Amino acid sequence: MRKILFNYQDPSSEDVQSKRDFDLVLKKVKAQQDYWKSPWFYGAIGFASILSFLIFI
Amino acid sequence: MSSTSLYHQSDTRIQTELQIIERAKRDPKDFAPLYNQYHESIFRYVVKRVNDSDLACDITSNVFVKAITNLQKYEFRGVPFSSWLFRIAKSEVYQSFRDQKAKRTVSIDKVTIVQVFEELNLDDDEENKAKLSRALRRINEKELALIEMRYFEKRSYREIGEIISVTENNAKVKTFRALQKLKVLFKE
Repeated sequence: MRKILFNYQDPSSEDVQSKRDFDLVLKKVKAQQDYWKSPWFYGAIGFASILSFLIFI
Repeated sequence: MSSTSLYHQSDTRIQTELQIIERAKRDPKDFAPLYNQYHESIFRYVVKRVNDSDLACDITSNVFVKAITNLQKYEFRGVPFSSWLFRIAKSEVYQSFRDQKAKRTVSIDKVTIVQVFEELNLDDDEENKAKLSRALRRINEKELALIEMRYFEKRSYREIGEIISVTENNAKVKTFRALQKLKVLFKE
């Protein structure tokens, strides 16, 4: 069920600008890149592939 | 009619953005000018739909994370970079509804609602507000998105078209049909 607001008040520009945090964005980007580069990620993928192969044969 | 949109004004501006994008593909830190330029409009787009400032903050942050991580795939095809960001924002907002983190909200301010009733040739009274609420709850999501962008956020047909990946004319036709549908639902 949608909520309909007829008296919506736009936040002020100052309020919106106070929420800017580019450092946080960069941290999240780095965390994502590190995740894909992580040996744990590829280790888990490799383990799952070997397991699937063994189950298959 | 585009008070919400930050639209490209000139080829020089587009070229400057493309240079920033090329630099940011090599180093995400170089994305900062685009983040500073578009953060506010993306945040406003999101918060109107989720009605939760903290969640809107998270979603906006994720929009830029996705933009930076997918920047290698971005190719300029005559469509402003902001439209690409709005498409990501749209997808992130719908994901938050699917994850049940947010409730779909339609936010209309006091001035806009008067203009909407003028467009519909109706009085701005409580009875009509209740009927409009019912109609806005019943209309399908795609039609609602068009009405929202055109009438509640005052975006141009060109920008709407670029956000939903259709031509300006097609956006105009679809929005007209959505308004007709809303009028029918209003009368039921």
